[in-house]
Amino acid sequence: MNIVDRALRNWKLHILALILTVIAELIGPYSFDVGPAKLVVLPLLYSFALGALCGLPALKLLSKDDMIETSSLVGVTFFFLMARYGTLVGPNFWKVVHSAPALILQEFGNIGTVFFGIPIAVMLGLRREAVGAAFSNARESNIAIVGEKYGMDSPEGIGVMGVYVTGTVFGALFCSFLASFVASTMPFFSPQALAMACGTGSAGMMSASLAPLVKMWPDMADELSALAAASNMCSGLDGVYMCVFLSLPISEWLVRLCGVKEAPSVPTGAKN
Amino acid sequence: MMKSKQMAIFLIICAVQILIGNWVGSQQGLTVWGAQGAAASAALLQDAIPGLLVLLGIVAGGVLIYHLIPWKGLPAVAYIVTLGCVVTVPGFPGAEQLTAWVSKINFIGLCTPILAYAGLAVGKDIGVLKQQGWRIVVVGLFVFVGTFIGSAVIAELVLRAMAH
Repeated sequence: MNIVDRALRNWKLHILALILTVIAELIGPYSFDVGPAKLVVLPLLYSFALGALCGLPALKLLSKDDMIETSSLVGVTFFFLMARYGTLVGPNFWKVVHSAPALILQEFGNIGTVFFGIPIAVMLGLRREAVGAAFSNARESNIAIVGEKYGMDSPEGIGVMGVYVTGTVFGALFCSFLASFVASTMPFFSPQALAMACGTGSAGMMSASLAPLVKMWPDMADELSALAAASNMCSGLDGVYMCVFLSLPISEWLVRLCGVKEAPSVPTGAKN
Repeated sequence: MMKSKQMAIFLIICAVQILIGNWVGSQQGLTVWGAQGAAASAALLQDAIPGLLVLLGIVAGGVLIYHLIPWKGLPAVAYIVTLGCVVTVPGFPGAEQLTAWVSKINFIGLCTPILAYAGLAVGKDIGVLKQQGWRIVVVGLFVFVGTFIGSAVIAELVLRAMAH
């Protein structure tokens, strides 16, 4: 029996997921003020946090095997969401096409990771890890790029895996708070621009950051969701090229500028 | 990639969770039950079923296209989202009906069961995170800020330029 079969037969997981979903939906969305910012918390954050709590070793609720089995299912759980996103883009198709210049150009904003991330990483004492950590938001395709170019057992590989795991653990919570914070304290940004910024190539983080925007501008819910989904789709398509041709070379240049002089790692198989 | 049979079973499990989550959350099924009785509440649940079946059809169609195309450069979700878009573009036969049906499924609510599974799985990553240390976490958070702000600034400037 392979891992997916075991996961499917593990009724504890499905029942737990259902219970968490019902609890999260019963609590419902909340918004509260933190200083000048308005933070919005939604059921999707509760269900994630409660799920993570179920994994506490002290509760003895989930074993390591349960967690590994669950993670074999997570990819497919997104299928319904992606179908729903498609049906949000469809009715707004011409509106999205009309925004195409902004949608395409804002993709270059994803390089913002480099200029924020590399200096901070070097300041914190990371060396070659900085390149892997800060050249992208470290989703699955970015890991593949690092694996091929530097090898996964290299410092660059450690960097990209570190940010990947940071994303799976804190990404949804953090992006959701980030979006509510920016939306409520920086009137410079229109809701449409913020919606486009939500799409970074990770459906989970996109939804988590889009959710508070939809809550704040309910009249524009469909338009904002269509823009976010379209932007996420763009990132999925151009992400690899953007990384290979732009953000990775810029990272290499910037990290040297910040004083890290070590040569880039080479995958073990490629060494002579 | 999962085998087709495994995927079919799991999609049905997901569909049940989505239906119940949607009923409790966006349709306020339990409140309606209390106020107007079980029949009214059950009617709400029924309202969402056609939309859910449409989504299931889009998912199945997307996966089928993925299997039929020999080039595997795109993941199955890319076909799913594209198919969902095509069948609801104004002018596609029946697009309005399909859009009306799926609109009964709140898309933010769809994320609740997804993130429940993600949360249940997350414990296995905590060890890796401890091993990597807090510095990488800090860098990771700045990375997420960087891509969000970077994209938002460019989008805002281009939208303003287009408005002129």
